[in-house]
Amino acid sequence: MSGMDAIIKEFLAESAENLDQMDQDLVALEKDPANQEVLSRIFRTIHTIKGTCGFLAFGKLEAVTHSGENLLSHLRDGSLDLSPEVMTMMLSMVDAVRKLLSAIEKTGKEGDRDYSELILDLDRLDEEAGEKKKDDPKADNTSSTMRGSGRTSRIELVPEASEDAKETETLADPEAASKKKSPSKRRKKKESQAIVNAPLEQPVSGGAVAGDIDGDHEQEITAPTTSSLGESSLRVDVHVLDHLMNLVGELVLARNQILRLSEGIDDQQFGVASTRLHGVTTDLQEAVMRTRMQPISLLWKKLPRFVRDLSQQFGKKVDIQMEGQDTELDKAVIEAIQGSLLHLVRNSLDHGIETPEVRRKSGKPVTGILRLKAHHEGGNVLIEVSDDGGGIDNEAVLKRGLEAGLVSEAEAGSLDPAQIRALIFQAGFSTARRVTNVSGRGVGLDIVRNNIEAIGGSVEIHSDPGQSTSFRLKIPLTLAIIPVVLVASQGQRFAIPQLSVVELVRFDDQSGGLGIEDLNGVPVYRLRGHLLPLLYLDEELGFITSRKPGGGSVNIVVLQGDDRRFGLIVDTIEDSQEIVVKPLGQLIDGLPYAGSTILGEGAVALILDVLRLGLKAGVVSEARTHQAAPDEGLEIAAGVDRRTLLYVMGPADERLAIDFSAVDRLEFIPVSDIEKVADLPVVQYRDEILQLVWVDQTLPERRTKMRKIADDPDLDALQVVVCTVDGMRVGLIVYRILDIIDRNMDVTRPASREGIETCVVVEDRVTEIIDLKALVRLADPGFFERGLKPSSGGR
Amino acid sequence: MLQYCTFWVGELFIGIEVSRVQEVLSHSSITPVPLAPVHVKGLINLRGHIVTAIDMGLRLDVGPAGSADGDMMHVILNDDQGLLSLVVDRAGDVVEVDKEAHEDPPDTLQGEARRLIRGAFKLEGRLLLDLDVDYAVAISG
Repeated sequence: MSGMDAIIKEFLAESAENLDQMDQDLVALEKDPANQEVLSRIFRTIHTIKGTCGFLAFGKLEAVTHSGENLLSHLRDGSLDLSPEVMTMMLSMVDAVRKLLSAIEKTGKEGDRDYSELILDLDRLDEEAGEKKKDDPKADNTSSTMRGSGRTSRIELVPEASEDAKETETLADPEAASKKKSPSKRRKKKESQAIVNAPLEQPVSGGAVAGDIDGDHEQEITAPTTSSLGESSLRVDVHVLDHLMNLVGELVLARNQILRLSEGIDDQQFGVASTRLHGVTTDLQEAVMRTRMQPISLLWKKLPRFVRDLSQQFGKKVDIQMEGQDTELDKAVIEAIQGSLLHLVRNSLDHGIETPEVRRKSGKPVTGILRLKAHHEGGNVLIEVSDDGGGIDNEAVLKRGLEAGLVSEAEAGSLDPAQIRALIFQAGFSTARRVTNVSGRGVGLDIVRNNIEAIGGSVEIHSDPGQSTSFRLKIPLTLAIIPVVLVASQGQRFAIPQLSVVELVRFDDQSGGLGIEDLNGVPVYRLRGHLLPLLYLDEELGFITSRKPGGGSVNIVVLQGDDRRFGLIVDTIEDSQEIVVKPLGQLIDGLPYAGSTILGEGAVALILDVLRLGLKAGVVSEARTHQAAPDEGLEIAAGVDRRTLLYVMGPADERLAIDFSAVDRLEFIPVSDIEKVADLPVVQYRDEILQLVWVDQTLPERRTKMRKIADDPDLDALQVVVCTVDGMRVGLIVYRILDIIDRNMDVTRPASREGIETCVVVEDRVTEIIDLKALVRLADPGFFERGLKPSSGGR
Repeated sequence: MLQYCTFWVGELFIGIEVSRVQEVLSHSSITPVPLAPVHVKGLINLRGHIVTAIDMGLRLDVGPAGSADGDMMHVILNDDQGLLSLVVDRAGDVVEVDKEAHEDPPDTLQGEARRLIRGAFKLEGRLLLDLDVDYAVAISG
């Protein structure tokens, strides 16, 4: 939108409001012709429109309003009486103005309609009044000056008039809406305040009157005013809104207190009243919240210039595209993400989009595209910053990660693409080959992530190597008031942000352990077939150190921390309510709390930081994968947790799994063929000596009375899984091979005993995935060090 | 002359500059903060503001505040870190001290208290210990 367009738009909106007001005023004036205040207001409105359209070169509109103004000035100085004829002329003039404005709004031009007749009529009345005035010595010379000075003087009037309009607009007074009802009160106000652009109660009424008089274009008159132009707005100081927000926050607390009290009072009337208070407060809160909402375009409008400057600096050609500029979010949130957004844009321009030469060579259009998208999703705003540049070179990222010491050589091999990409969010990472003065200092993306997470958001990254990179920010709509679930542990209440709560589970644990399984000392709960690691809040917070197994009901708050789910066992789950977040002092930094709040009755409660709690307890892993949500349709992340497993059964019916990529062959080996070398089982296998590992005897035992594979009297041949581990071949003796499965390991948890990599749920059974290397070491600590020649190509 | 706000922590008679103190009040409800350093007594709600309360008895290593008779007072400080409360056993008067009368801390002070007290003022009949407030409320504790 050009600057001129913006001015015209503002002019239209302003004029529409003024005209609506004027319709009412004219009707009021007809009833009370002596009301100078109303007359002055009408005069000013027309004067303002005339002045502004002179400036914008709308000649017809200017001519109409000019004649109207002259007529009004006669009315004002008393040289013209408000006869029905004059009134009709005035309303016709307003209609003409409205029609012109509507034409301007639609086409940008005034249209072809001829208003000369109206102008002639107006001028005729004007002249009659002028003659009358000559005979009237009392009349002042306002109107004659105006008329006499003609066009030039009208132009001179413009700045003054617009200034006036601006001033009154900023002085917007909420009382203005009711001024019609209380004229005496209004009269005491200064004139400048009295002509505020106020929202109208009945914008249609004036139009209807006009329509009666000038019936042939009533449709044209009313339609535009009630729809597009009818919108009214006023400017309010942000501090007023902040104050309002605080007050509403306190009101919400008071409301909560009342609701809590009402539960203990058996009075129906009181109950009804408090329910009503609840409803009104909720609506009020929402409404006030909305006043603080601002379109993201506020942030984005700086970007084209920013991108232009940067692309010149980098010698790149970049077009910026924006979608969803109207997406609204809280002012505080906009401020909080501003830096991060600029950084991502800078990052895309510096590291993402290639130079024109490179782009030409790779067959892309020379001009790169930076795309910004925003939209609402649930209680969040999703903002996407994407470019069609070189994408993220995983190899380079990994190399850089190794150089910077962010990953070890050993870890590097096992990282999946999403994990590698996540490295760029680590502190101290930068793939830039050179340090530029805008980015590439090795700080940045980690700070972006920290900043976004600090306000309860998240960052995801997607990349199609060679084609595109996109960063997706998920931002909460507002920061000030959040819904929480209140829980209690050892008599103390804690708030858990509802955003992190997936569901609440409660069951009676009468048999003292049913429902909660113990996976080698780590409690887990099987929730609809998924394995949910559990934390006891009282243990995590150090209230108690040991737990006696006992019955009673168990309350689990199922939480989502990052991309992992876990259950938090609390003593009681109280209720959910909305709270005002208050920051904690520095003394309480580094603890699993996201802030504090004051509950209804004035008590302070801590807000739990779910992610940190999970990290602390180890149920959320530090090496986070910023992967796509499964419904994204982007298959980049699909490989992340998808594994092919050899599913085996142990002698005590336990389930184990072996990563299939390590499996070479499955063999039956007669028990009699097993020999012993240095007390280790071996077998001659394909012209070499294959060392064997008894899986059941090697894994640390959970149960004492476990059956051994060797105990089976009917056993004459052993099932052996021949695997290659670190380039060396080894045979795992398992009890029975069940299946080969290929699936998403959606719920996993860390291993609870040595030799196990992780636990998953397969067909409703807790299944431990064997960590082959660890298992072999357990069986034979010196196995890998003996330097046996790799028996195969290795992995 | 300097004005000092005084209070007792156990047997110690301590003062801090009056300009650091916002108010002194008794307050009953404290929300403990699990896992916080031991001397962080908890949070209090001071007219809608969350205030971190520091147990000066534990901070000075002379036993928790209020251990004598259960009474305790909050000396509310307002500084860059936001609102803080020093939880003490008993509040004293505001006294005027002579800057010149500042002496080294008495040798009888031991351990953590020694580090937190930067000197003493001789008053009539008793010694007022000059608390290093910034150190006392430092994050490391």
